[in-house]
Amino acid sequence: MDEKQKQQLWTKMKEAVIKGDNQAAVELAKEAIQLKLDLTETIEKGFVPGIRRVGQLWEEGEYFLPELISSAECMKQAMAVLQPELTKNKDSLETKARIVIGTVEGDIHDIGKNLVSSMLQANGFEIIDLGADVKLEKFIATAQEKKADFICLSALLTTTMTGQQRLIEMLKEQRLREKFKVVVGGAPVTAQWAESIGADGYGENALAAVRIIEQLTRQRREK
Amino acid sequence: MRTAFSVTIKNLGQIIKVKPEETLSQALARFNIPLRFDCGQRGVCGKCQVKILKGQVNPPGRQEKYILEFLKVDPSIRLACLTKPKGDLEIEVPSESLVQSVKILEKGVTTSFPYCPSLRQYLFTLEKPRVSSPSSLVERVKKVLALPELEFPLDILNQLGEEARELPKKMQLVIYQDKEVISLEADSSPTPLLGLAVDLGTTTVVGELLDLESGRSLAVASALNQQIRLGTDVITRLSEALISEGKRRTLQRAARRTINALIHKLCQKTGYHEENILEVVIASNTAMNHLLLGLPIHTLARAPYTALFQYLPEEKAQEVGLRISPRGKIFLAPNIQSFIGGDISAGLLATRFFEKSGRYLYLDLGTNGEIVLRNKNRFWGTSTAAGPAFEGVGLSVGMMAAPGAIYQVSATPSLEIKTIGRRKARGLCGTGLIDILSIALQKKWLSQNGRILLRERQIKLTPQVALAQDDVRKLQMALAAVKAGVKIVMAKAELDFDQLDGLYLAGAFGSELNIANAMAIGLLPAIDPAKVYFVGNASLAGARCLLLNYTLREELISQIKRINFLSLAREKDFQNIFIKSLNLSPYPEKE
Repeated sequence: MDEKQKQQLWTKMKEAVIKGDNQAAVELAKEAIQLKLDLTETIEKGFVPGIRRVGQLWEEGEYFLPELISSAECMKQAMAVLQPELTKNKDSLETKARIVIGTVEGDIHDIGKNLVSSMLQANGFEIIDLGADVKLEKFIATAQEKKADFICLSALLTTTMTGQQRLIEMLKEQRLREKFKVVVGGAPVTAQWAESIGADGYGENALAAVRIIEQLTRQRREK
Repeated sequence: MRTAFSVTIKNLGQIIKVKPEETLSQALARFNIPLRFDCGQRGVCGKCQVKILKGQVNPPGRQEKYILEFLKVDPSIRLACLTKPKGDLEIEVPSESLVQSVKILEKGVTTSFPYCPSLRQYLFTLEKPRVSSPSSLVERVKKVLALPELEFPLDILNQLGEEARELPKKMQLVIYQDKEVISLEADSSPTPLLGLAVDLGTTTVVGELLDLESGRSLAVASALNQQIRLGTDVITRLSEALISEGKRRTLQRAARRTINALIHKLCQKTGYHEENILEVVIASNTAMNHLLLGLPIHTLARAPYTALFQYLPEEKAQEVGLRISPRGKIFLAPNIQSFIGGDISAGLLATRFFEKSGRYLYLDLGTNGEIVLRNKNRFWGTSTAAGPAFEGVGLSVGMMAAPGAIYQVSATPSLEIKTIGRRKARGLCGTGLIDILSIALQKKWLSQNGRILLRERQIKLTPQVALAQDDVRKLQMALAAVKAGVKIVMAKAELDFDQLDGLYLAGAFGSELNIANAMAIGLLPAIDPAKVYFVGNASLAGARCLLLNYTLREELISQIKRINFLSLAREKDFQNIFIKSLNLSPYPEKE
């Protein structure tokens, strides 16, 4: 397969993710395996640009939640096809970072958190999603056990966002604050709030969360 | 002796036969003429007045004379329960003597209910005791009133003792629910018995002063909830109250001050005194009633959002700090569950939701959207966090329904706007927002996924007022929350939308809401528009019902237990349905 054909395949992959066309994405992933293409390259040059473009379309106001979710789902399905092959070839896609995510205790809202979770996953992060109404102790225990890099906390109520503050205090009390980056989000959460409680980052929406986590991951590596 | 006299009721055009020894009230009751007997024909309330136009009747006794003089009525007036004809009669039954059905809602559903207030005034003469039967004064009062269970608080007992220095004496007793003496006076003039119905909303508080003897509305006034400066929405206020007991007290004081200021305003308007108000009924959401009582709200503020109480018996208004009669009572419309509060139970009562069988949807759209569904004998209820977008809050062009707000937009085909108070347009309120979304969809300025397709990426209504992309997104989320809630509740009830007999719409949107537009964007399900009823401020109407007929309180408390509570966030499909509902399109979707 020459470079031009590869380019064409990548363009198709990108389009499939942008359109949220699951069937096409799965077919294209299978095609890449049949053609014995370098799968890491396929993902990085085919599918990832798709999800990046979706992010742009979101920022431009073109895309809204339904499109975002279907593109993330599309990405997930393509990855599900490619992942076993990568493992077989002892080739592994480099995980950018490992993230423990959940909605804090007392709060059962999880749509926003699920979105952030999907977008992070689509962008190549490893996600451990603890769900909603999660005990603060559980975030810390899981993060330690799984050697996570990030703890991401969602809160949809002003009455529960104090849980984000409490978690950071608990990390300090247990002398674990330096081990994990803490990123917060949720409807009532603001950049000021994030700063006042000493969080490492704040995501106003799913895309912003991806951006800040990518940025923090780079900073971490550079150190 | 004749076997019956014929009594002509002039104003009703009816002739009835009255047996000898039968009182006029017994005869009228036999012919189903709904005469008022607040005291149950014991001759102590003075409500069953009739006018004798022609003919002979028994002369009034001492008790009747006292009441007639006390009430300063025309000499031709007699009390039907103490009057017996001595021959054929011509009488008139004044409309005030007939049981009033109280109209509940101004619009939407026209229903009424019999009238039965908590407070009644009884007039009687306390006779000089005789040595032959020295039973206690209290027992004698109970006997005269035929209320053996009547309770006398100590200070009333003290008053009774003082008044009994000189007997016989003409007494006026105000009795609460036929069980507790509220006030005792002797030889005074008639005092008004007033009640207050309150809709204690998160944003707006409305009070209505009512005459409890006639059921008449005397005045209505409204004010902003003073808690607003401590947070605009319920959750923010709950989180304030969580900070400290001091903050909680501040919130309580703010609610109390709001109601007391309304009481003051209503009294000034009508010339009555605060002390004349003997009962207050408040319809409010769960957070508001907990905060008004100054109760801890820890359990309500966090999942699983448990209220401290569902309903309470009548409390002393003084203990809550309301400035009415020191003996006045307060009753709160019962909370249904969690965030479906007394405002909704009151609204359901006002629409007679539990009475007529059928399939009905009750929607109260505000910051929290509450949804109650009846499928024949089964009920479901849920609340959905729509956010304040419908009230214009949080949008770049949004505003509350105040002067200068665009409340109506039409395309004829150029855009025409109507503003409140015909002022210069400053922004859009809820109904205007719904109109412009629907028009923009029709004109293809907006795609169904909410993308503004115009090159300038905004929809201009006037040079100053333009709907931005982000505004549309926020409205989509609010709409989806309601749409998803309704869809899930309907699915639980296994009901199709065309099976609905009616949809009651209460809350933020007034009757200015354009139903076709609301259906086009998916705020309301697309059902036969003739089945949509605007019920206006149904919470206040419900509070009025509970005030004017106290027997409805227990009934409502037992009815709301029939509602199955649904927690949307716990529903497996909620996320999927919510995401699908974000599209600006009618629902239910056509196959």
